[in-house]
Amino acid sequence: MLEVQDLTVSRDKRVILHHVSLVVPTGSVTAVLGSSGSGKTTLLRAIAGLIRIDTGIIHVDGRNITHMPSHKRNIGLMFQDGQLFPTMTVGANIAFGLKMQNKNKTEQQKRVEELLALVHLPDYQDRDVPTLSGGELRRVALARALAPTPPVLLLDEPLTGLEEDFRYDLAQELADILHDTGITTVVVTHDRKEAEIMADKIAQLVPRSSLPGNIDGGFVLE
Amino acid sequence: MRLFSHNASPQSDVTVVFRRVFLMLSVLPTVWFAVFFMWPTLHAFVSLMSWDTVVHTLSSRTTWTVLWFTTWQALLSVGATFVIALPLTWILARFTFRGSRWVRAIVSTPFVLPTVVVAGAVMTLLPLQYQFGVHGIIIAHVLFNIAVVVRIVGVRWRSISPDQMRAAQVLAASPMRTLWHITLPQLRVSLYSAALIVFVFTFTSFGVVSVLGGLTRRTIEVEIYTNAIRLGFFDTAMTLAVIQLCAVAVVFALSASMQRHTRTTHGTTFQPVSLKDHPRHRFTILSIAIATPILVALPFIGLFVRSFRAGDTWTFNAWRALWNGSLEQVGLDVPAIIARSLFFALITVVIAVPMAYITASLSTYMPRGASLIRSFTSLPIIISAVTLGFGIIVTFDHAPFNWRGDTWLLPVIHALIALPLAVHLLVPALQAISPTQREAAVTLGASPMKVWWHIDARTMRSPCAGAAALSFAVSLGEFGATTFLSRSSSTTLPIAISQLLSRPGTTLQASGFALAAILAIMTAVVMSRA
Repeated sequence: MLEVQDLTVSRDKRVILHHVSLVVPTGSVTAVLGSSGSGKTTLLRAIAGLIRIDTGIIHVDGRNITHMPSHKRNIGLMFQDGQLFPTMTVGANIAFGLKMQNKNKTEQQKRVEELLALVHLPDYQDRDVPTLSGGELRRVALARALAPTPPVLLLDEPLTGLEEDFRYDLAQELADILHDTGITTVVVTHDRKEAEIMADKIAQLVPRSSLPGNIDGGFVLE
Repeated sequence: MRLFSHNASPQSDVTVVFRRVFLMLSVLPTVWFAVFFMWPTLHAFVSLMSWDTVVHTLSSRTTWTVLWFTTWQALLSVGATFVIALPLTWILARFTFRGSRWVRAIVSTPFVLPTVVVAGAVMTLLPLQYQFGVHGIIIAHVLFNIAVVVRIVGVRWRSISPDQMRAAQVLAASPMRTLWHITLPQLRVSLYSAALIVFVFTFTSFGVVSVLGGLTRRTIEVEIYTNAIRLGFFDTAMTLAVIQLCAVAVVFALSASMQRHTRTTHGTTFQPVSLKDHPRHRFTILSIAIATPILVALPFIGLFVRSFRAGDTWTFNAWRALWNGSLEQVGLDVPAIIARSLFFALITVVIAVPMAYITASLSTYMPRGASLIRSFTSLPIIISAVTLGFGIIVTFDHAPFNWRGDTWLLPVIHALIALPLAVHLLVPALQAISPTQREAAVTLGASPMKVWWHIDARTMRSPCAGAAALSFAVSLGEFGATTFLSRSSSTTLPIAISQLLSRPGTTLQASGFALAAILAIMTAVVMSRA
């Protein structure tokens, strides 16, 4: 289970996230909807430990990870556009996290094959990243994020930039994979239909100014 | 569940860690730069400059003659370079044809060759009565700088949409009016930049003018050397160095001002089209595309030909003389000189690449200090190598810093001269690494050290190899500072070539051409690995 309590993030004296609280039950997929610039990515980066937070507590399966360095949190993050490492093959990309965990070559190879089968790209191990299509790139990025078996997976606009019809087909495919693996997942997107396909629960970020009292400069979850 | 947020994009902690590490490491290049660049140049300035010397130097007719020649030959070189290079720049920016890559490679090669090699090559083409004088100087400067125009202006030319030319044509504009009203205004900034670089290179020209200037043609740079080494007038040499520095600074300021007042537009790059699809003017285009590289290659072919000539006969004597020890009578042990030059170049790489990497990293991870860092590291371009060499012999000449005759000083100074070029190569490559790539590695469990090793070091392997090749080539060909610092026990290839070319005797001169050919091949091989 992922629990975020009263998370506040600010930068250059501007509040970005203001007392955010979020609970994602084990094995479920929660989508956070929001328009461009509503701080969705900031939320994921804060959970992953990529940015400093002002206040708040983050628990994963009861373990307090708030002050843990990012590379020790073991939280999977699938970036917008995949962010695969262009100097490595598909197999090396997926094995990267396992290598960081000092897994031996045999274990790495076995896991890479498992994950490539899971994302329906069984023969792609030696392919170079620049040769991948948009959809293949997203599948490999998901496989890479899943490889170290993280307890929580964060997906940042995983299907942005793909054509509409293909996007919803791939969203369904990713949803099936997530449910098969039973991993606790937060997916942020600006597309409601994509969120409905992938998630068990949907939360929407709306401007704080729309609340009773009209507090200026932020967003609230509906 | 409540989410409150505000729109912004915070920065990653990995970048913060990298910034701290490289800030600590920056002690190394800072100390090196301060001791071997800032101290000698400032010390020479403070200890030698006096009002009396300035007045004396400025009231000397020789100073004004030299300054006038330096200026007009530089302006003429800029003009001649543009006349030769611009048509080819247009062709290479707009068209592809069989061999177009070769054309680009041939016209770019002289730029990476040592100045004494280019000067020697030009010498082989000129009749005896024109071998020393302004003709050779201008030709050598043009050969050297065509690559600057092709590269800088060509990139901008490719970003102008060909549809703009077509739009002008359907509005009844002639090709000349299209060029004047549509193309040139968009090229203006790149033309200023290229002109500035060519002007600074030719205004501060030393190797070319030393070899081809003879007794009558001297630039300020050569005059600094003459005053400091041959005449021992250190204070006059320093004043001339300051005059040169002021002139270069004025040109930079003028250029910056012109660029500020010119609107720039950034667009996509339009790939060149096949010449087959452009039947109009095809003959003219192909003629220019063939003639220009031939003209550029001709002096270098001449270099090889002349190394096998003795009077009217063909002979291997000059090449044999390089290896059989007969040049030792003029104080040149060629195998030892080649080995020494290669060793110096290797040490230069060992110093320059890590220093450039640290400097480039600092410039990348500290955006606020980037312009200051780049300004400092560009100083070895603005303050010429001759001025640096001069500063060193003035500063490091008494205990405990009596280093001016020490051999180790040469690669250290070569590395300083290579630094701005290496930094210039590494900064864009470092900036091209997406911070998100590093974050992706972090979320997969990589510590900051492992992120650097697996993401940065892996991506930077090729740019670092390029910087190494460039530093190696700079050291192999460095002439300006080396003329001040080398002794008979530390003679390098360019110094030996210059000595051979300036001596009477057909065989000695032919050996100079042969040695220049060897240096040209070595440099070309090294740069092809970049």
